[in-house]
Amino acid sequence: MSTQDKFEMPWQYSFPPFFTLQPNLDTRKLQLDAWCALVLSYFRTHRLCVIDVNESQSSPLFSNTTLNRKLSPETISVILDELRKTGNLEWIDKNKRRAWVLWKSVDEW
Amino acid sequence: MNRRVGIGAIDKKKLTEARFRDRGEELAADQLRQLSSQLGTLKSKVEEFAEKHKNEIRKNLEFRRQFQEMCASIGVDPLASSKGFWSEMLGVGDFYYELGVQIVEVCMATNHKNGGIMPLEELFQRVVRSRRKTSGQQLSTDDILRAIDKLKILGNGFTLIKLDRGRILVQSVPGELSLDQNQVIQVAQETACITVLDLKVKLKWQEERSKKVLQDMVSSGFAWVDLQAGVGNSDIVYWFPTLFSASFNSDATS
Repeated sequence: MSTQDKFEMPWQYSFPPFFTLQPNLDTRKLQLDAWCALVLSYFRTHRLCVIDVNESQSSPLFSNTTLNRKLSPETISVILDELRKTGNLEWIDKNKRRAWVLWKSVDEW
Repeated sequence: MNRRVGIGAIDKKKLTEARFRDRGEELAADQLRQLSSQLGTLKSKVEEFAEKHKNEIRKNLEFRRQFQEMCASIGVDPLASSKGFWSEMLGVGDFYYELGVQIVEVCMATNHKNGGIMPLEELFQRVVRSRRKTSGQQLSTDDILRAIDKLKILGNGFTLIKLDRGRILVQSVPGELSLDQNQVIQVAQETACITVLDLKVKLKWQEERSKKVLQDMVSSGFAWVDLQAGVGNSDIVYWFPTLFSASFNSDATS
């Protein structure tokens, strides 16, 4: 699909510390905002709507093999939690293993 | 035999002094007249010059630089005030004040990303990009430096940090970098990252000192920590988004 080819990772994706949850709260806020935006645009471009927490750990979204950096499961759940707060994510099951990623608001769907 | 100590002598002395003074005043007045008439001529010459080259100055960066250099050599600052004669005639003032505002805007827009420090080159590119729609005016990094120099009048907001090979970082947040922080940036400039070990090797710093400086830089947002480097994972790598060049191609926020 042509849209997939065009998808460009933001600069942060090649910035190694982006994959480590930042201790400075201001910096962390920026980091999480960037991650949320990245997750949403990634899902939108690839026309995906379900995220599986276990599988996502190895997906290229959260793991940059060229840099040899990946997000830890804890960090991933922090990001998903952020997305839930902004209304872009809804858990499908009670154990929080799978979720809908809503890159449009519910009204738009 | 010294008879010139009487009242007469004193009077005489006074008289001579008075004459000298009168003559002096006359001369000064004369010079002043001459000078003001010269200024008048200069003014009309410049008006003529301005009439002809106004656009040239606004559009052509080389010409602008030469004009600035000439002013500097005769001790005139064409940017000192917007009511100045040069800026009224040539619009040089407006040009730089406008540029100053754009610089501040760009710095604010990128502040969140780099903690308020940006390479001059990047600042230049961004300003050029933001001006592209408005005008065909050429711009040089020299213009940026001049505008920043003017911005310093507003207080200690802007500072320039000089790196090797003529690279310059523009710091747009108040609060100077400490000498130690400055050294850290110097050491990190090539790779954009640094470890406690690097500092120990290159600057012969004690571990505690390095840790403290790096921690401070993390808490002020200049540095990001990376815990996934290397096999042992014992060392934290500190990264500076400001120095990281891939960051440059970005841009949603600007």
